[in-house]
Amino acid sequence: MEGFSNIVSRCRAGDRDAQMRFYSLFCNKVFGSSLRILGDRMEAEEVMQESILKVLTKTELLNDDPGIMEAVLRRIAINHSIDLCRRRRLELVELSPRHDRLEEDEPDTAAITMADVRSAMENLPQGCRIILNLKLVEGYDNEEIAGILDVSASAVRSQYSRARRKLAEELKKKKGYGIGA
Amino acid sequence: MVSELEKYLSENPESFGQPELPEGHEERFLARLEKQARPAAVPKRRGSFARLAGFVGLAASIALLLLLVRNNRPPTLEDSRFMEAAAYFSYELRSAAEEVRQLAGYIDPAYRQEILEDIDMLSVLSTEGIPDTHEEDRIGMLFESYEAQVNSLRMIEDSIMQFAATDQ
Repeated sequence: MEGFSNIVSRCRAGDRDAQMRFYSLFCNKVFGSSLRILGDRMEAEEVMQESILKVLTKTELLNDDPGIMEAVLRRIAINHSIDLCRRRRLELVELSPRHDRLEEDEPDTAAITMADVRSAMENLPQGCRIILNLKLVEGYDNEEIAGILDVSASAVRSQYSRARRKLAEELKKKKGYGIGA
Repeated sequence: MVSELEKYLSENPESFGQPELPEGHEERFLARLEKQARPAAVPKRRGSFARLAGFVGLAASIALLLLLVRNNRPPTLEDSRFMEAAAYFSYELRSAAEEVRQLAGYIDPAYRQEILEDIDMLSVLSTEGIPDTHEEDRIGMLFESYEAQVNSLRMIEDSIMQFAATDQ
């Protein structure tokens, strides 16, 4: 099996086969990152492909480390996805004050499946979905999310807290048993 | 305090699973790759804007030709493509800036002058720092400048609209 650094070298030289191989290595994860923000499969595919194409055409962005390369690609895709949302005048949802209540409202995690969590996330307003994805799935901290969304870190903390409450509320509507795949 | 749910989600992000890509995605990407590799990197222009951009491009090409002749270097196709791209992006940038200037009436008077100066600055395509390297790389860098400036104009536009909305 061809090594990743060899694939990258051939991509730098414009080798079409290597470029398609590069695409196949990252398309799924980058698509997932975009889809979780945009919620639309064709839009997410377009963003994913534009992100990978950007890296293949700006060869200075190519990196021999596959872990770093994946992080760069996902970041490009997330930035692009957020930019699309922003152009649609995305507003982080102003949830009602009741969502600031203490943790006694959180569901019993032993009674929830991951399918429940995925379904609940899909039902959330877009702003909540974005915050939760960036924090929990992509692993960004508050300062990084603030930079991505162009808001203050305190706004991120506040919105994350409310989004988490909203997720808990959605999950309470479902009945699931045991955390698992 | 981190809830159990949040802790589990943070530790098991892969539990969200990997969505399937739409059918035919590889073919569509291959088409994008091949389109990107074709010589016509600049989109087609239309109507009266096309004629205006055409005149700008022609003027730029003539200026370049004179410069190159003075330096005893024959012009190449690559030089004219870069100049054509620069002319196109410059025109698009000026159009975007003009759209934002139309909103001047909504700008907080305390900041209006400063914001209009920012718009003026962003309306001129920056070619600073683009090295004399491979032509596709140069056009790529030119596009990066254009994209960064257009995004800044859009952010100014968004800020103006937000101010206008809250001022009512």
